[in-house]
Amino acid sequence: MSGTTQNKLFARGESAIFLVVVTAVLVVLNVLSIGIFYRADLTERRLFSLSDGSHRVASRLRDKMTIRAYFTEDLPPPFNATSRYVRDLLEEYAAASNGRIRLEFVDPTADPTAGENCDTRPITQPCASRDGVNKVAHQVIEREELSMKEGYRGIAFLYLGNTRQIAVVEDTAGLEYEITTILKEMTGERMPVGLLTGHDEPTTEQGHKLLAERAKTYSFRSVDLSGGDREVPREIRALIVSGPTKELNERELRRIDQYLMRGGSVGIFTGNVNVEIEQAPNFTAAEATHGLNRLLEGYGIRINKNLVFDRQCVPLPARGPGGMPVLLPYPAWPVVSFNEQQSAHPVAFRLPQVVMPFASVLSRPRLRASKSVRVTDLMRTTDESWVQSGSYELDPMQRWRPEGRGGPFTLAIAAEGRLRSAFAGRPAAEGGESSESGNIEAPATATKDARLLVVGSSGFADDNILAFLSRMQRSQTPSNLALLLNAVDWLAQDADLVAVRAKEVEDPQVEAPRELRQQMQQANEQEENAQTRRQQREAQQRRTQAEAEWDAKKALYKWGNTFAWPLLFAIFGIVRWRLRLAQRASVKL
Amino acid sequence: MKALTIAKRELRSYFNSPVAYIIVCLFLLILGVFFWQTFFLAGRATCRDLFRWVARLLVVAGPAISMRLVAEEKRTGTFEVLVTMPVRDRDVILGKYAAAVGLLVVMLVMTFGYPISVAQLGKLDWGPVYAGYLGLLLLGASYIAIGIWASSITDNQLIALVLSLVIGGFLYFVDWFLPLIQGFFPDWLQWMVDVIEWVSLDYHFQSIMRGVIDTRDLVYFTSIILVFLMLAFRSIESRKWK
Repeated sequence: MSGTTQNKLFARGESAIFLVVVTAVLVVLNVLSIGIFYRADLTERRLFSLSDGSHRVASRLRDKMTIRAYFTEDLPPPFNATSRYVRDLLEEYAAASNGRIRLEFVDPTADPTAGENCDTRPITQPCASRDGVNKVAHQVIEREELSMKEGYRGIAFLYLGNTRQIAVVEDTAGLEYEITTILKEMTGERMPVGLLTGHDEPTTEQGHKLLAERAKTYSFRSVDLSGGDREVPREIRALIVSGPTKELNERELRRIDQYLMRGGSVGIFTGNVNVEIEQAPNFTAAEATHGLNRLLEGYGIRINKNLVFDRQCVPLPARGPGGMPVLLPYPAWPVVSFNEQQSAHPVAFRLPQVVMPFASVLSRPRLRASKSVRVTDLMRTTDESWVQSGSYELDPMQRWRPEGRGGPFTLAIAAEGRLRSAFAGRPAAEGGESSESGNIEAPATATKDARLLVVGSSGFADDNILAFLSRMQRSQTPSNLALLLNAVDWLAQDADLVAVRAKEVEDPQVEAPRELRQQMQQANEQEENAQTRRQQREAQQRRTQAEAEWDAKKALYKWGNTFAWPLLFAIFGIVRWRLRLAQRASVKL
Repeated sequence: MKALTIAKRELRSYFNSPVAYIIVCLFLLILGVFFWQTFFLAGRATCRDLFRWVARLLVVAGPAISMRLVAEEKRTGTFEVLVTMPVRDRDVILGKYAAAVGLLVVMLVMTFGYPISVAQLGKLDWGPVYAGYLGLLLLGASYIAIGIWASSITDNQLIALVLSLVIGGFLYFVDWFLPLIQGFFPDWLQWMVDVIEWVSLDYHFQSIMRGVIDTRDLVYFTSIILVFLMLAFRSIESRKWK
């Protein structure tokens, strides 16, 4: 073999080896990058940053999960933005799952075999009807005509032979919460939460059925303290004391205090006036006898013996003159809105407003926020609220007259941190139970961060009222139910769910410039207030003019951008060509 | 420095011939029609559709920019002159590549009017716009790397164009067919579906386009660019042992 041939062979081999080595390094780098990565969300509202909770849940999946998003391609607005958001959000889950989540985006309108009548298809292939995703009708305005367009917008989750679904994605706000909850449910993580019994409280069978149904990541169990002989089980993540009508004795109160001082979480949902709602609208009120103030006053909180009324309230359906159905504002069911600070608290998160039926005012004469205890007044009535005490007029048909001192009044308080024991430094001798209560020992100050949530109404979480609100608000999750679920999440310290934030995720609308919008609005007002036909015509003309101006502006953007840029570039080319020609002509040899 | 000289020369030659103007004008015209036709119907102040359309147009525009880079010089015989000059093969490839990426940048800059217009019509979130342009630059640079390799193995521009179109198109569109592909793999080979998804340019571009810059996507695009540039380098180097 000649030297040249050998050199050639060597060069060839060296080049090939170099190529193979570098390619291998790049493949390894890519594989490594799957596990070790950094991502920066540049969106203004951090839309694509999964909250830590969802991230954790996705990364803890032990087996492969398939998520199928059934979305029709060109749904009318605003649902076209929904499908985009869903795709992006699911991709975030997949990215967080270390490859455990596989995503499938299916358009059953384009591929009808994946829509209906496909139940016999193998499970590895998409089938919307089998996966529980339904076709829904959407209104579309085309050429000024209203028509219906059918399409899909649902998500199915397949994990270890089980299928769960969001049959129709109604809203993007709160979708992450819904998905994370489904993931938690499917992976079987359930946390124990106690509901106090023994004092005629509502149970998961009656009164809190909806709570048990919707808070699927928890297993609710009844906690009977047997007059204080038993302690609150240590393993439960939260204890809920909701609407007791019989008295809790001191030993029971001490057991609750003991649980709280060990770093537990206690939610107390009750007013200090019991109202019978069974015979609605004939409500009857009687003062409560639960005696919880003996415990709460130890923490510096008091549930006052009164009922709060507010002009900002829910309208109740009633019979008007001649039996006509009418809606009457019912101030005994105040509607509470949240301010910025309250909205930032996990319990009130995502909520525009809630209804607080038959609530008692809370005060906290001896509970101040400090370094070791964070205190939030979670709900306040409006300035136009008032209270009744002693005797209560609850007839919805009455003429309401505000009386006494005006609001705002506090209806819910959340305290978190090293609370002091309600019984710290107090002698055990009370009501002949001294010897027994002496056996119940609790640290003087909470050993770990404790959480206490007091809401001055038990009705807000009652099944009947939730069902009524659900009908009224036309929502499966009226905000009261969301409040209840948030409250359980916060109490149970389920960081996964608490951290999931609601996001306003729709892309912003295209809008006419402000002056044109003002002109249109003014024209509309003018038309409404027009006295003569001439004035009306003038207003219509002004509106048409403003609309035409907006149409012209849109056309300018549309055609200007389509043609101006290529034209500009072409002109640049022609000028350059002419210049070069001129330059060439001037060159003399 | 020699690569820079070659890049300047190449870029100038782009603008001295009508090719650049035809490609850029056609690109802008088609983009304008596709984007603005549906913009007011959707009524959303977002540039996502812009990036989606540019990405699809780049599947063709990328190979069109790069097809002549080496093939044309091979055909006319000027390539032999270039490699006998005191420049390294690496400089030739890098210089030509940089020139084509330069033209890509000009194309992208010509679309800046779109987000500026959209921002006049609604409250545009600029984060995804910055990320989208970065994604387009990486995507376009990947097509051009594929294109320069295709151009380096033939002296026929058309063959270079078709070859890079097929490879670039496959890498871009392959994830569209994942649900179909999935059925072909038995359970124990399902991991192949993940691999196919991972090699898809579209998969990584979509991720950046949303406004999320992820090191995984950056590593992927850089790898594609490096692999094809190296292949191109090896291809012109191969004359040494042929």
